[in-house]
Amino acid sequence: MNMQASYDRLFKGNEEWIKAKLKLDPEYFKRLAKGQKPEFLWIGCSDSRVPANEITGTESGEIFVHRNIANQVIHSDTNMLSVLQYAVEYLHVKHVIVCGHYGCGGVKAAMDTQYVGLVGRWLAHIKDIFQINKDELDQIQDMEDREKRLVELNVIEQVHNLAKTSIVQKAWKNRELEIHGWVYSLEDGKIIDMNCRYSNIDQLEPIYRFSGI
Amino acid sequence: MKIYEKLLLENKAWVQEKLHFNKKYFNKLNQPRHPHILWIGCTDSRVAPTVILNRELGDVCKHLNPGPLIQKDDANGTSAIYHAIVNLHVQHVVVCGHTNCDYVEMSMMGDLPEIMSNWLHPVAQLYQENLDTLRSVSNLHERADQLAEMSIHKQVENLAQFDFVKQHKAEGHPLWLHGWMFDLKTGLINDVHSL
Repeated sequence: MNMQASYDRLFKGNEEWIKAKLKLDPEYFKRLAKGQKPEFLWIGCSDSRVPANEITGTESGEIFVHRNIANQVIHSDTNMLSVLQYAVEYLHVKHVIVCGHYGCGGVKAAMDTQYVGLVGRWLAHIKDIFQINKDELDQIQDMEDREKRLVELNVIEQVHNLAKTSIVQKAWKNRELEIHGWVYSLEDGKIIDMNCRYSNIDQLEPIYRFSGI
Repeated sequence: MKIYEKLLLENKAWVQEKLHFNKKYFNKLNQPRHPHILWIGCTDSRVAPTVILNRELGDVCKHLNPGPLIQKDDANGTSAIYHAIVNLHVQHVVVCGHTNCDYVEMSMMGDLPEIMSNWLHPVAQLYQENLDTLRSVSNLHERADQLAEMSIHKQVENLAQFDFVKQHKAEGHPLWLHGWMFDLKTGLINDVHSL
């Protein structure tokens, strides 16, 4: 398909979607404009093949979504932190989900030594995860399997990073909030729960626990 | 059942449904992708790009942040944009804002906690710069919608200022930058500024 056609298809898709929605519910957009009450914050990858709504069978208004390369949670990143703050403190989401996926280009690039320009400083954080888990990863002979394991370790680390934030810890003082790590498999569409859930401050190493918040 | 477990269950149902219509659906999805479009949109749960565009998976890569805003010193957004343009060679970058945006309304009211106010500072600044024009709109929601549209215009200009965008164009690669507004009240997308 040429590029103008691929661009025009977006507007056509938008029109079709409006028609379909209004047919089922003439008041659909009136309700949508009133506000949102999502129960989930989704931190996912920019990859075009992993859209949160489709793969979880949810509708508009149900999931608040932040997407960056390789679903990173980095302490100094105001972009991601302001999403987290709004979702937790204003929308009062009950679950935060970090969802990675096998075949992640960001993780692949981080495992390689090829210089990738500007995006390299973002991926440097994944290189750190590789180095910390080098012994385990080196034992995996098959390169594809090794990459898959790093995708999983990356998700587990980002969930850990979320638990370290003052925003999450502040919420834990007053209410329930769960953080989950998932990996989406492009091969069969299935989501795998990494079971690295955090739901209270006691699960965190003492050095990361804030007092006075 | 906990609500997050419902999502995992819905995922299983979605896989079944896709395979029912096309047994090879996931074989296709597992291939390396060649998206033509980078979508930079807001994190708002009501503005999910694949939903409002009625698109199948695989042809739009996405960066979603509050606003949405494009800021030069933001490694998160800049990395996603750089990767999509320089490495994936997308030909269209769409920055899509929307009406009824909580972030824009809160920025306008100056009612933000510390972290969010840092990120959204450019919106508050844009409001100050255009105070005379915007104050003439008495309905505050309409005023915020207008500010949101001004912001999208500005984000497209910000995109064009990146050195790697200029260089990519100078090398002769086709690249179009678009600013869109999604109207939550009608579901329609309007083109507000294109370069």
